[in-house]
Parts: sequence; structure tokens; C-alpha cells
Amino acid sequence: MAKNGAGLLDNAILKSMNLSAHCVFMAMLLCTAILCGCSKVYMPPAQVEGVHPDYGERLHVLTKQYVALDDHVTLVDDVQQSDRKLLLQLVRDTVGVVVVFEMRKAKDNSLIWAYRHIAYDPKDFIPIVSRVSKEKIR
Amino acid sequence: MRRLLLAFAILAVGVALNGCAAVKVEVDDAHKGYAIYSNGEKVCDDSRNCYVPVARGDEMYLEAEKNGVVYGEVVIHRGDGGYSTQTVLHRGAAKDVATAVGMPLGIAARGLQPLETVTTTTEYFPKKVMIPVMPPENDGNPFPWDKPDPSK
Repeated sequence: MAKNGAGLLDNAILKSMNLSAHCVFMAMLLCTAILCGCSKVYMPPAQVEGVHPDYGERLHVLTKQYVALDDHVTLVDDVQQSDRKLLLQLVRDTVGVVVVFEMRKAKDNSLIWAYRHIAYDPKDFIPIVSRVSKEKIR
Repeated sequence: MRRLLLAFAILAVGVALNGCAAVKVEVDDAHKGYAIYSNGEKVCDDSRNCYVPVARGDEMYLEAEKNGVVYGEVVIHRGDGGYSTQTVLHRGAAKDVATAVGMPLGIAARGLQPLETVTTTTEYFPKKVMIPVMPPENDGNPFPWDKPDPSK
């Protein structure tokens, strides 16, 4: 009988420990979300003008890869779930292609920032995207 | 008058120690004026006469922009322009002694602290930087952007 009582007590202690651990975990998660300030970004496919769509796709994939490395940004597939939109564009210029990045608010489509950089070769995408993802997108 | 001269001397030494307090920034396209940005801030409207104040940090990211498009950039670091070292004789700190035995005795005790040398190194940004903005020659053939991506 006494053994049974002790077993029940152990169970109760374990349950209460489990509950407090759960509460602590949830609180930590909440704090992390608040401190992190993660923003949800939607990235539609890149638009191209005078450039083959293959390069738009290449830019889109590369930018996604770099943005995914940033813990402060979460990429979402649905614009409805996003806070901001990152629009990519390639525009043919006389000497190369202008790579355009525009960050807009998802709510009212207002411009947050824009960055334009010339690319003479698709190899130029990497340093441009690296710079933008490091300095601007967050 | 002496105080004024002293202040001037201190200022001159400060400027000399700081080395290049500004970096002359040029682009390799001498005919056109580009706006220059340093770490994302616009610092010159025209690259033909551009001196950029050195950044407080260890790195300067310089960009040349024309008509809203960045045509070239360069990254420079503190130390790229060389460095200098200064060694000064320094009396050991008597702070602990002052706390322990009281201020007047502590000050007196400071005189008993051993002399030690302190060496500091100052690193400089380069005085002059050229930002490449011209397209690569590519044997006169620009990249065929309208053709499918061959790497795909």
C-alpha cells in the first residue's frame, strides 16, 4: 500500500516536472520569436526584360539559397502569409544586365528599399546576391 | 599664445597619427561622374573629386553608382594602407593600491610602481582607391543574355 502511494507521488512529481518543462519550453520559444524578430518574405519568380528566362530562374534560385541561410528571414510560398515581398528583375542594358532587387511591404505594396547592380556575366550574380542578402534583406 | 601653439601641436600630432583621415576614391572611367557610397551611405556626388572620410570600423565597402545603378565596388580594410607602432613608457596603475590604503597614500604609492612600456599599433586605410566600373573586354563579345543558359 505504502509502495503504491509512493508510486503515485512519483507519477505526480513527474507529471508536474513535465508540465513545467513544457511551460519553460513554450516561454523560451515565445521569447526567441520576439527577440528574433523574424520576417516572413515572399519571393515571386524573377521578371526579365530582354534577357532569357533561364537567367531569371538562376537569379531566383540563387537568391533563395542565400536568403535561406539567414536566420532572421523566413521564406514563405504564399504572399498572404508574408510581411514583405522581395521582387527580382533582370533588365537588359547596353553593356550588360541590371539586376534589380525591390523589397516591398506585403500589406500595401509600398517600397522599403531598392538596389540595382550591373552584371556583365551570370557569374556576377553571386557577389551581388551575397552582398544584398548580407546587408539589405534582413 | 603658448597654449594655442600647444593645442595646434596636439592637433597636428593627432592628424599625423590618424594618417589618412580621408580616402581619395576614383573610378576607372574618368569621363563620367559616379556617385560614391561608403558602407551604404552616399559620400560623394561626383567621383571626379571625391575624398571619403575613413570609417570607424575596420572595413569600408565603396560603391560607384550612376543613374541609380551600381557599376562597381571595392572593399578596403584597416591595415591595407600600412600600420605604425608607438611605444610609450607607462607607470604601473596604482588604482588597487589607492583603493586598499586610501587615496593620498595611493597617489604616493603610484610613484613606487614600476615603469613599463606599452606598445600600440595603428592600422591605416589606403590613401587612394580605384573602383573598377568598366565592363570586361571579353574579346569584344558581350555575354549573350538572350540565349538559353548553357549551364542549365
